[in-house]
Amino acid sequence: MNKTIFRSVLLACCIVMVFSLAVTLFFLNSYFINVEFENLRAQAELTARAIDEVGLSYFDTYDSSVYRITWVDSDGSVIYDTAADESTMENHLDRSEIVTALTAGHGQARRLSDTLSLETLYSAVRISDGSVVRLSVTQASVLRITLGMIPYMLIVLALALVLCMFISKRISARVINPLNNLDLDNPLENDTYEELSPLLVRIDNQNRQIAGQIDTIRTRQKEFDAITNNMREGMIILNSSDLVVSMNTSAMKLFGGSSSNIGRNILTLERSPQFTKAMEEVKQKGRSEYFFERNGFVNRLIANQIQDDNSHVLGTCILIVDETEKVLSEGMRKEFSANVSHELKTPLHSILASSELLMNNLVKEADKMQFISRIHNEAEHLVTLIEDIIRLSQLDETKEFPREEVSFQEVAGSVVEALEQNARERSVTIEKDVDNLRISGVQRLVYEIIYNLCDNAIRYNREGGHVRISVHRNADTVELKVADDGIGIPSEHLARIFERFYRVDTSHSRSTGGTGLGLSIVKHAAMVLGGQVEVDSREGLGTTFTVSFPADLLC
Amino acid sequence: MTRIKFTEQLSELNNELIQMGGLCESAIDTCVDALLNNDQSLAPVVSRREREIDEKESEITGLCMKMLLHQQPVASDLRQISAALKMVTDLERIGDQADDIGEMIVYTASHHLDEHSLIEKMGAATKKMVRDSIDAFVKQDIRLAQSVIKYDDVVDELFISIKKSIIEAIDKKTIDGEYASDILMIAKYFERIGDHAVNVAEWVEYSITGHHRKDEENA
Repeated sequence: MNKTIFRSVLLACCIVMVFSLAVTLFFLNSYFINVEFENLRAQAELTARAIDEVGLSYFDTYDSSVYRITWVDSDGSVIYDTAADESTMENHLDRSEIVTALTAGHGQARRLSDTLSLETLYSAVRISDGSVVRLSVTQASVLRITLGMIPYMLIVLALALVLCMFISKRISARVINPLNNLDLDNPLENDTYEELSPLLVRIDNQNRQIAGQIDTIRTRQKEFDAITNNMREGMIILNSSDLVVSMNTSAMKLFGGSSSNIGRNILTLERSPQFTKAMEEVKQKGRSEYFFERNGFVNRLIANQIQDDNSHVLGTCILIVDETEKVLSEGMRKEFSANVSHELKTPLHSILASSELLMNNLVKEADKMQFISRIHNEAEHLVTLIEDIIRLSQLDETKEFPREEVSFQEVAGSVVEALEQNARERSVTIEKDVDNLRISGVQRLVYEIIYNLCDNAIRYNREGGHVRISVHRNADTVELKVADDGIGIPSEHLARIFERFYRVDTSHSRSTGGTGLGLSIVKHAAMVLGGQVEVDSREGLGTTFTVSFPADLLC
Repeated sequence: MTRIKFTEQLSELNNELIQMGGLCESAIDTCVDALLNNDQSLAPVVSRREREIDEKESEITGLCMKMLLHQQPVASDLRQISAALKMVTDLERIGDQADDIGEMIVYTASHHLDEHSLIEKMGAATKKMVRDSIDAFVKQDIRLAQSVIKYDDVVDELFISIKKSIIEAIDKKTIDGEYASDILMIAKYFERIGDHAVNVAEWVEYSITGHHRKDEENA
């Protein structure tokens, strides 16, 4: 800016200087030449008159230092010259001033010397005898004067240079200052040069565009945050140098980080060897995955490289998925199938062994009946077991059961009827205290619940024990209770008794003929009906199972 | 240009130190797990970690030397690098002690750990100290570093009570001699790990403030 101004100002200075010099020289020169001519003419006329009167003898006294006088005859031959030998001089009839003087009585001319540095003025006057007297004077030419002025001009130029520098500095400062003080946030409110308004209008437009774009980006960021923060999965995004760009709340909770980790290296958040290895693997293979346990949850960490279209690495995306349930249910499934095969195998082995003995006639006639009844009992047990499994899988598979009106009194009555024989065999008394309540439910499932609870209560009882079935209405629930005063369940087993095939005492259960599935069925059936099962038991004193249904199921 | 490279190297140093800290934590976590669950199969895991820690140590030392020679750092940069050099030594020792404990599991596994609860407490306490000292480094948290230094008293007291209970057991002749000495040594290793964690915390403090406790105590 400063330089440009300086250059233009200097250029303007120089141009003005040259032109003004030229004009001045031109005018002064022509003026002085005119004056000189007039002088010369006056002198020429005086000389002419003198020569006219005294003839050649005039020259005897003439001092030739100022003017050169040439006397030319009318035929052009030189009669006398004060500066040269007239005999060597050529005919002067071709000189314009002589020609004019011969015809008009006076003529003048001006001629530059060969070097251009000198010029000569001539003034010729005709005298009475027809010859011409010419006076000439030689002086420095305009060019010479100009050349002589150059040193002074250089001094002036140097002055101009300094002045230009000063001025350009001032000007640029004065021009720039308001520009620097422009309020670019509100460009239209500036009070500055008019010439700037197109720029300011454009800036204003761009400002608005930028603000709009920032707004869009911010909204998107908010949406992104809202989405990721509501994710149960942890998500972390890293840039190409492993700095955290974004991290959702789940990830923060899992790794114990805070927003201060954003912008810092991921290692400040998690530094386990497993993790650093995974990060290295991502860099090499583009993907890494591993399971880890934290705070009692099993998590799967998946790290993926993010690449753009030109397969240029932009960063890494880390996803942490809670797999606890999956791992647990996988374990439970494995255990279940192992249990099922075990439970099915045991009676079959017994049947096989007994039947083989019978087949090979290795059994005494008297014992045959005993073996046959063992085969029968085991087969019966197998059937019960398979029925239980089928029931359970039905419960697992069926999502919706058609609802009907179920009367607790009726169901409890048929359960007692079905189990009376069993109870009598073990000398257990069944008591009923069932209110006349009806709920909207599934008859078969309510039956399963009461049947299995009572069956257990009888099975795990002692001689002369009691089982009491009661159904009452509470404030907002209907409570079905099956209580016994039998052997009870040790407290350490209470949490697990609803698991499939779980048994408190395996040897005892087998002898009593249970399948280990009863309570699973109860829990499942209650869940399907919308109820909850609770258990309260003291070892040696008895057990109470409470199934509570919400009161709004009541009909 | 050189400064950019130096900054890169400094952050690399930082990351390497954090990784080394992670390895130490994992080593001590594994060895406490192994000890409490009588799980001999974890002993090789601990010794593998110990080797990894050793590798990291020489890697970090090399990096520090390179930076010292090529960049000739001054002021806080120099402090950071010299603190790193000291810290890796302590971290490496933590790895060694964890490995030592891992080796002892083979001998103690056959016994039911009577001093279980005390050793468990001690293991948990040293684990916490190591974790906190590395956290203090990661977060450059001077208060956390100071809390680690204070927490050493807890570990020291636990060591004393383990020693007392072993002496009592020996008096009553209820403890096997070899087992008693093993347990005492394990407790001593834990106590040493605690001391190294304190050293790490002190160096963290030094790298932040420029003052080291030992200097002030001597002054």
